[in-house]
Amino acid sequence: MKMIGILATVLVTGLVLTTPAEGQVELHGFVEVASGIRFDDPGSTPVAWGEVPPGFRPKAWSGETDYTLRESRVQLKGDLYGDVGEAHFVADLLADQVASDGAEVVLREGYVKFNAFSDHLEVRAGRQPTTWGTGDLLFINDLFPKDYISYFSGREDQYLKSPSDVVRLGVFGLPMEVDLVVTPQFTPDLVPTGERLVFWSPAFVRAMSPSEEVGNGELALRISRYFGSVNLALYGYRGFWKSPQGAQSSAAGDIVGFYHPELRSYGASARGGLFGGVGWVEGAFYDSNEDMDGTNPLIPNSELRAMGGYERQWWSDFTGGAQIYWESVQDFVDEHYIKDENRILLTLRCTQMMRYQTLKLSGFGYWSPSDEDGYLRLLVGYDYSDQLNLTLGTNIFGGSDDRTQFAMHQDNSNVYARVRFNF
Amino acid sequence: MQSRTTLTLAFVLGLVWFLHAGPARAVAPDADVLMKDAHLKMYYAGDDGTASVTMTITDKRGKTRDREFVMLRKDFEEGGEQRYFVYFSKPNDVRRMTFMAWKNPEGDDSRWIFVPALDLVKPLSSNDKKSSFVGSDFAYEDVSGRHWTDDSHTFLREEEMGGYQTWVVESVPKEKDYFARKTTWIDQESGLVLKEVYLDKKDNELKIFETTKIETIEGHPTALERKMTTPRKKNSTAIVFHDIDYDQGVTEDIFSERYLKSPPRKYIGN
Repeated sequence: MKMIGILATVLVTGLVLTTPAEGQVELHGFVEVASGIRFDDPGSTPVAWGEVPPGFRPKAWSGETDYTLRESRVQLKGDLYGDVGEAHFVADLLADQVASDGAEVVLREGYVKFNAFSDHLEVRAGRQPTTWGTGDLLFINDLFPKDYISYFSGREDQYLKSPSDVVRLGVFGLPMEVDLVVTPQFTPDLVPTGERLVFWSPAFVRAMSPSEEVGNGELALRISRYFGSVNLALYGYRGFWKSPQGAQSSAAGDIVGFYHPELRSYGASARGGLFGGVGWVEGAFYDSNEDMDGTNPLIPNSELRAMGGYERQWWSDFTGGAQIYWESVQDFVDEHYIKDENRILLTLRCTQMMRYQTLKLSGFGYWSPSDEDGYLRLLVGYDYSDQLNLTLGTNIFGGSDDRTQFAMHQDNSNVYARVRFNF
Repeated sequence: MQSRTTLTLAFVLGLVWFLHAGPARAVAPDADVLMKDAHLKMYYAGDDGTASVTMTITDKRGKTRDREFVMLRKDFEEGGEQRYFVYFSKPNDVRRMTFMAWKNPEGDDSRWIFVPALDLVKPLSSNDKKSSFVGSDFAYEDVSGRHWTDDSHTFLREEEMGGYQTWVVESVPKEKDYFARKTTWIDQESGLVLKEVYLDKKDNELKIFETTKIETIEGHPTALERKMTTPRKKNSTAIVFHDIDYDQGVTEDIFSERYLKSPPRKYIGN
């Protein structure tokens, strides 16, 4: 509730800064209806370490376990431009028949932007999505929250990035660009919890987030510079693991809860033009500082993560790219982990645009040779007109072991359709 | 004796004058110079320029799609390196998306796109200059201009076309390209390209470029309205430029990621 108060203050500040009497207001948006159904009935019980508690099954509010997506959405976007600054907001009025009973208003963006110190400092404060890093749907130094629930269910790609309430500072005029993002209240990734998507869990208890205190926020820093058209960047992060990977145990040794342990990360990236396409490399050291020597089995160990990728337009209106990604657990002890010490992941993207870019055929696939699982996203998008867009797609999960990152979603494989009217 | 010499001289001079008088030049213009000048006038007018652009794409059924954007360009070298921004405002699904290109005639361009809904800056592959620009009949190469040194030019003739006196030039690509040859009509008065027809090796029309309105803005002759037609697909794209401003003193540092994410209002207003 405190955040709503802060947000309201930010928005009012925004209105004051932009003085709508002199400034300009522009209002746009869309209306969308979306529906997605599972391939199979998720009747199978997940595999678990301990016993399956009696009566466990994934919750689905409307009892519609067949649907992964069933919603109507109206999005309104407003941009106000004034002499002193700007304000932007994006709000969704969502009637979601899978995970809730009625309609709700979701504020996706609500922030003000202004410059100070002769434009050397840029401030953006409020709710907004934040993105950096070089990967294509893979993130190492981008520790800003992701919404995997929307991503797996068939909502538009923009919903993968979950907005958070932050203050962003950009410092310019130095030999490099400095970006600092302060998140006063820790914002985790949105991971499946059973209301919409079935998932595997070592224990069936709720996760806890760091309490709403000052000091339980996040700080993210990027220092970057272009050398010609090649961008080099250094990153730092101080906060918490984005998904609740820490376990709390009772005196008897049972897992009674999950939480987000502290995390620091230090990384770097390089990206630029290469042989007519774009190439990138990125890496980071994830320092799990609550368990620095890796001896505590309840807390994830530190990790090294790295990736490299390349994307190019191979022929007219066709873009193809591939990435290789690697995670390496430090101080690995086999008994403490359900995952491998080293995980390798490959991705492939193919996008073909046709008919003056009104028709889009797109595929993005993940394959892990070490986990032996994968995830395929296919879609066909058609712009019937500038206002009307139709999208048909599928999310297919597969793998040999139900406990691996993609295979655990096998029961969620779905096919979906979205119809959107823009205005 | 003297009067006869004078008479002969007068006769010879008269003959010379008669043969060389009239609107035709004594020597055919240098086709390379004509094409270079036209290129500079079309794509490098002033040291920098801003314009609001309305683009209408019409398909074979007569259905139209509209795009509106603002372009901001700076020349780093006449006929050479150039950087520009395209800020989209219409249609709604590309609203506030921005595009930045660093044009490099000697090698590959660099291109980036910014998607506000994801706060994502993404570099784009730049090897393909023939790709359609935002789904129109104009390719990237047509938007930034095909460099005159890419082709060998031959002056064909002078011609009157639509009330304009033009020079007609034929050009053949020096390296294998998507067209076999093209014919260009250049307006003698403004030096701008009035019409350009691209042909394949069987002499089929691949695409036709036309300038449908010329006006002088701030001392620079400007092709205000342009059209590109793809005959075999019966598709055409019309572009109209408004609110053109030259030489605003746009600085180099503007063409950076910062302004890709936040358009510089002092140059493009709103």
